[in-house]
Amino acid sequence: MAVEKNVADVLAEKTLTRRRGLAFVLFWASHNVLHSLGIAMTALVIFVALLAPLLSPHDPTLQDSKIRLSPPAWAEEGSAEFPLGADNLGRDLLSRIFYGARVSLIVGVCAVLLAGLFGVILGLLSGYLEGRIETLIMGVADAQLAFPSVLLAIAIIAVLGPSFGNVLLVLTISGWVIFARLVRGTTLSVKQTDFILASRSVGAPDYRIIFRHVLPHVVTPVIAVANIQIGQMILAESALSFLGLGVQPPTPTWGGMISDGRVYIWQAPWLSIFPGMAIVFTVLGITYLGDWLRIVLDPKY
Amino acid sequence: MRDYIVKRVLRSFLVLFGLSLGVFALLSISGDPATIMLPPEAPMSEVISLRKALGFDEPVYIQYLKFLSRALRGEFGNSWQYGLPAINLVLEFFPATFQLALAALLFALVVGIPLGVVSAIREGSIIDALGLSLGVVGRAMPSFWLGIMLILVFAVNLKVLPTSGKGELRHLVLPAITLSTAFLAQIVLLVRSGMLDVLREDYIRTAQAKGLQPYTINMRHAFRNTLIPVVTMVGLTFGRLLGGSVITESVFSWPGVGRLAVQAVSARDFPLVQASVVVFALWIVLANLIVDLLYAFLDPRIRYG
Repeated sequence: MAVEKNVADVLAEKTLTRRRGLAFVLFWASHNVLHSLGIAMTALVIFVALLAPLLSPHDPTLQDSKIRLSPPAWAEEGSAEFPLGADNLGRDLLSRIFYGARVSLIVGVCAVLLAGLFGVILGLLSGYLEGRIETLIMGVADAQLAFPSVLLAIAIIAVLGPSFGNVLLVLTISGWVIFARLVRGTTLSVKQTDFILASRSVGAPDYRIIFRHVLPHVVTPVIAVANIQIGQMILAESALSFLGLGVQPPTPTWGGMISDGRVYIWQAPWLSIFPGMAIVFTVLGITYLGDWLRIVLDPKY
Repeated sequence: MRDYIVKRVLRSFLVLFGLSLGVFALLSISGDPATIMLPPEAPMSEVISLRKALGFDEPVYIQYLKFLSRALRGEFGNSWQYGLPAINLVLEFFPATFQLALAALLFALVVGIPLGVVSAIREGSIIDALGLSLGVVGRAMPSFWLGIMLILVFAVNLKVLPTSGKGELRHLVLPAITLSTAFLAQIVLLVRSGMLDVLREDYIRTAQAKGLQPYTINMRHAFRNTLIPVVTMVGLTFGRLLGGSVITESVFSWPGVGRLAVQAVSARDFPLVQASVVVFALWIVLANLIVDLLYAFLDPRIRYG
């Protein structure tokens, strides 16, 4: 037997033994744990955002000068009444983090819905109709990809002023491209199939072909990308808030809290530590969830 | 090759044209400058005469052409905050931004490429787990927060590096790491997955069967073939790094164009906003053009494609 082994078998065996290492087992186990973790983490953030008024120990905008910059409960001078301490205006940090989840999630989800809507429509049109419309839409998309979205946001918000609506506007403008390119690619390949030819030959109008026959094929990849994009939009929103260009105070935003807190980095570092951890937690959860969704939705896996 | 260059240069001009339209449109919807510049109680006659003096009573396309000709000569007017020509301010601050972006790029490449290669070669090892985690967490972290955490650890607690400002090389370390992290994460994942793909190719098996040293196989046969996508990304990202510098510069009080632009926005200093956006955009378009040309030079398939 051993004599008949060819080179490929030897190599395969070699790879297998290498892969049987303890580190590898741990690695793959953790990979699957991460998927469940992603679902749990995302669910927790949604839960907190929905129930913020019930879960928060205090009003997130209530100022109490007596507790200014008081440390978290486990520090020496901390009290259990303000579990994560209080900020420079004497507002409970934990309550503000809970409420901050609302802005992040709402902006993240709405921005992705809007960007996805425009991106999918423009992608379908440019992929299905081709010709000049495609050149125009994809030309704009390319030009925009070459241009950093922070700058675009700055330019637009400089003119329109910072507000919830303008944050959504900016994120939508910078976010539609990825969807349009994805949908256009899928549409181009679906268009070549026989069932499209068949429906065209029985006289189905273009809008019917696009919505009934092409659209269902682009839904799966769009959902997978949309999920990842929610995380990226939350990051973008927090950056805008950090620069003072996002949703304005007194509404608590994680980015805004970090921006307020960094002035007190010497006396009260927790003011910038915890909101940032909330962002990382949320985006990581969404990323793992997206990874899982992609595998579940993609038949090729 | 010449056709490709011509086409690519033309496209850059097209992008710039679209950009000028965009900036002009933004200015137009920003409201009537005459009413912004004059006090609210100014009489109507004064508003009309200022409007005339600024050329806002002319048809839109004439206004656009005038704007374009001024922009081409770099005239964006004086900064409302500093009273100096906006373009001079931007050009004065630009080298600092460029230095920061370059340092971040180098850091990302020097750390990211080896980490990606080793992660792929030792797939499933501790180093791979480290590389993957860095790749995932690096993209999930807001760069401004990372910057503040680095300040907290290295400047506030360990007191080994300065918190902010520009001066010696030490001042560059934390801003460069902050700016490079998201890019570093991307590089690690890109190099890792590229290497993994290549390592499954038949010619790698052939090289192994020939009895070549693993080092030779990995470096000469596998790594070289993952370089082209890395080059593309470096080009695309160098432009983006300049954009990302807006945030990093604000965190570290780095005297660059990014911080200048954010301050200009808060002060509603429109000439300065315009000048910084245009200079950034020019740089990005130029960087993309250079990379595309370089790319065609490296990969003959694009030249003749």
